[in-house]
Amino acid sequence: MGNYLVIITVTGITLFGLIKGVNVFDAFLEGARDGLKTAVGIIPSLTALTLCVSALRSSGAIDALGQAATPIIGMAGIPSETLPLMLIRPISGSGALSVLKGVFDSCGPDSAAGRIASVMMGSTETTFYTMTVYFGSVGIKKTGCTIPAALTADLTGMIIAALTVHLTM
Amino acid sequence: MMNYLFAAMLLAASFYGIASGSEGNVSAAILRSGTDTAQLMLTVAGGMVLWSGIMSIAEKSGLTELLAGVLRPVLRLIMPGLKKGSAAERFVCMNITANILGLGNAATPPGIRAMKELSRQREGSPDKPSNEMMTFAVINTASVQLIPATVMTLRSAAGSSDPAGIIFCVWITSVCALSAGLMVCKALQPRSLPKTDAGMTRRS
Repeated sequence: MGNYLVIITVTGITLFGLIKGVNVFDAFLEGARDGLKTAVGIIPSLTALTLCVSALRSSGAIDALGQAATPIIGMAGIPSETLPLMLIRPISGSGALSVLKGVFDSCGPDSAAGRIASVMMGSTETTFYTMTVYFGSVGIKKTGCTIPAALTADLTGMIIAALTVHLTM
Repeated sequence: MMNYLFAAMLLAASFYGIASGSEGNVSAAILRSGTDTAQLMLTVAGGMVLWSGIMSIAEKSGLTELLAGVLRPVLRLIMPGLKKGSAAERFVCMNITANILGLGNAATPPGIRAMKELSRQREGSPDKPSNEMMTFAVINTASVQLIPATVMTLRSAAGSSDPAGIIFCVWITSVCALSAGLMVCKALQPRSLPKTDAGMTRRS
């Protein structure tokens, strides 16, 4: 099903563009150029966070943390391998990418942990970064109910990610 | 925040690694991390370039506006204080559609302008955000994406037999997460204003 969606999205968008008289090739190139800029822009932070994440993983601290939390998160069907992702996701997008790659390397992308980590990554955002950008832009320090609400959303996402993957696997 | 986090993670790794006798692993991981990043970067960058290209066609062909039209009624339910036809409404719509299409970069500028518009309309203490601003921020901190491109790219690079197999789970999960966030936001907001059809909050 997901495969059809990928095909339909790519060809559908291209076809719609053609019908609307857009030069789809030029439009693609223009967007791709922007994408490249974004990608280059995240290299420094990705390097910094990969350093931290690989060092932490190799020291054994991440595994120890995961094992310590297993009794709690295991009740929700969340594998301990995804705990580091849950912790870093709201704080750093680059860190989360690095952790996700680590989960794929150690458990495989098609394992339960790999799938759950994928869904967690795809359905949540870098909460704190986003808030800093948006509230910072209007110079507001008090954010009211935003943090509790956003973190509830993240936690719900983590739990539902495990639930949906278990149900569909 | 990242300042302390960066240092704390490195310190924790060093102490734990040395204490547990795995200093060899830690040192190897540090030396390897630069190259690891380069590999990860190539994968992620490839996906970003590809999907930014596709989504740029969607933007140029007016698909974004079409989607915005579909979203507007839903948005009115979630953010009742948003004035019909206002600049704020337009920017909020642009921001959300760009997010849904995975155009993260295209989403931020209208997002910031929406925040500024909402901030201009708000009343009361200048350092307190309005309900609409909080709701808008919550929508942005939850990710609702049609195509989770980066994740699928990474999955396929890691040798997954079904990289796109997670799409439906991602949709269901994002919608649940966003709903939970919005509910908490509504519940905690100071006195939700009475729902009227006219543009609201005309208090002196």
